[in-house]
Amino acid sequence: MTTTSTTPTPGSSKRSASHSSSARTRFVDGNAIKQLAQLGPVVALILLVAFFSIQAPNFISTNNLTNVLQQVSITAIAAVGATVVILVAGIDLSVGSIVALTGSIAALYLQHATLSTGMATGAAVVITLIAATGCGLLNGVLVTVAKVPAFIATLATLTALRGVALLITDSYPISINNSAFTQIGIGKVGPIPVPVMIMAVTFGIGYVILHRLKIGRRIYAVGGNTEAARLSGIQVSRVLMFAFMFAGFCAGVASLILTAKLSSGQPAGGVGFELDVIAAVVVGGTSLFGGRGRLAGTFLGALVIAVLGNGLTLMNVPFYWQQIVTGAVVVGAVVLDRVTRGETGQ
Amino acid sequence: MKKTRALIPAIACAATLVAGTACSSNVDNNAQGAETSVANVVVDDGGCAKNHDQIAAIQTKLAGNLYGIAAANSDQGSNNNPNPMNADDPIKITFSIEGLSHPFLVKQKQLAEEAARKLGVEVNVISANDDVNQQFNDIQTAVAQGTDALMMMPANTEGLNAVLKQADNAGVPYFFTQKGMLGVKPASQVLAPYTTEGQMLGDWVVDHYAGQQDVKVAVISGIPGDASSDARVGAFMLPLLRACTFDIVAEQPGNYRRADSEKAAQNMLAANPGVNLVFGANDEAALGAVAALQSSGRSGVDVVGLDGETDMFTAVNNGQTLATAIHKPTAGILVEEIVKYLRGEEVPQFKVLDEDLVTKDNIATMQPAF
Repeated sequence: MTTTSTTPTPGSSKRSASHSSSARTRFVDGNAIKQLAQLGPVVALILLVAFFSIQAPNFISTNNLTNVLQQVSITAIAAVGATVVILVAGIDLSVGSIVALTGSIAALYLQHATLSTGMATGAAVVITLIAATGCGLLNGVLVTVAKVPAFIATLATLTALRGVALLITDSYPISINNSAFTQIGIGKVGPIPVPVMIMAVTFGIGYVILHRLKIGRRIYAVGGNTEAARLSGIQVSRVLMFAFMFAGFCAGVASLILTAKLSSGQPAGGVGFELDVIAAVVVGGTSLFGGRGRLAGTFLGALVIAVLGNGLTLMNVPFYWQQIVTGAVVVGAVVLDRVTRGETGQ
Repeated sequence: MKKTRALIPAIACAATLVAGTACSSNVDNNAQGAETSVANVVVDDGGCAKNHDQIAAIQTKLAGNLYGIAAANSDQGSNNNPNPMNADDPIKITFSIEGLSHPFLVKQKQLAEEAARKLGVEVNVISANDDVNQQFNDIQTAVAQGTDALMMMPANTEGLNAVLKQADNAGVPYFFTQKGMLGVKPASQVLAPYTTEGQMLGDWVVDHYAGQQDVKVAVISGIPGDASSDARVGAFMLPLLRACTFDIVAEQPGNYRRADSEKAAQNMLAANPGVNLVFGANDEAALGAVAALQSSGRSGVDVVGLDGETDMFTAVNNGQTLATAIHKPTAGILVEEIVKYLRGEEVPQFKVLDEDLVTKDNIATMQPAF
């Protein structure tokens, strides 16, 4: 647990977790390039892109890079919510099950919808997002009202929500015949894939929440030092509740894209998805102890993992090695992040 | 924090999504639906009126089941490559396999690579790690990179239609080995005989228990919702139900894995003390049942499975299990078909291989499938 001797005033510094880094933050404030370079994943990403540009045929092609962005969007969107939960020193393991459940709900709705394709799509979007935010609410209630630790609460919902998904679909994938809905996953506006646009909007929302609204400062404060936050008058349980609901909402957005892309609800899909999402957040430099981290880092973290998978596939690296290399890079990126920050670790 | 604040992003994003969809709905709007036609099923209850409804339900399920359809259409109809390659053009095939987490899948990979070496073509195997989304991405990457043909063992019967459309648009033909998908038109597919082998084993079981009444059967199915499991279990049950002398007392999924199946078997055996036979939807399930019987000290319960894996051969030899069927991997044969197709030869639309049943009587002459 990261502790500080000073009481972090909400909003005084994004990195109130340690003296040295908060001093550094103040030093580089206003210097965008230096601030960017502080993010370890930038270095990792540049190295990877340089390496694959030379080694992997067709890596640097518009087509391939568009594909990478489209492929990373699902993980990155869910990671926006996960970043917020991890910033309040929580964890959400139920993301994959929320995706499976809400995707199944959307598919079942679309199968029975009598509205026109466009209207049905709109309704499916709303239903999915409400259901996903509801799942987040359930996590939030378990954590704040029932006082179950986040790890255990979301481990329970990971299992239970998957069970509901399998129950309502009888565990069969539910196919979707709505051409408007599938555009959410595979459509393009001009050269830009729709999922990439949705990803940009989600990150925008996340940025506004964390850095433009009062709730953002409270999120950092609660994650930095819960007790201090409570003493300074913050209603911690409300902040936690918000974080879990927002994570559920983001999982819902990710679920919409996945369901549309696969033109089917996959009640058995998304197994282990939470681990991809958490990996993206951690590689992005967000501390699992809460209070420290940025959305930009999360995006880069997701991108590092996606670029790695894409590049290794293009290089025809055998699958077993891909997994080993990915594991090594996750550790490497975190170490690199720490080194570039000048921290020694605990 | 105000509850309304939490709603702002929700509303904003929903609006964006709806708008985004509306703007893009006129682009590339030719997604086609899966055409799952269930033929008019003529129920054949074999004169066993008490099982009529159950038989009708299984027959209906199999009529819409890809493997039921495939078995009925084997070697009927053929396809030709409209743009054949020259005999000496290099060929590059991408093999997207659902995962490599089971010995059978590894065997598929090896056979594809062997066949490619023999034919002097390149095959590149990509594992989707049992995830449809990953497989979607893999195929998208392969099509963008450029490949002559896509060979697939899909993780699921649904989900890849959109990316296969992209392959179509890019002029990349695709093929299925072992497992297929509904609603798409591959150039050729060599599918596993899930229904044939289930039925073959079911017929054998009926013969084996001829003259006995009220044989109690427990079934360990595979992965819930998986078409291969439905095909095997359904086809196995039909002859038993028609014979009218069997009673299916319990059915639980074992996910095709030994540990899960052992648990399922333990539960079913505890709840039904009179079970005479346990059917596993694959050999791992059957071997799980053997383990459950051993740990509970039960004897006199027969076990049958499907696949013909090495461990099962040992179990049949030891008398722990009665029978299995050799489930032949098809990746090698499909590589041959793909090369034929690319070079302009005619290939069958569907191909389903014949199976061999393995019992104590003929095991000496058989080789394990993997």
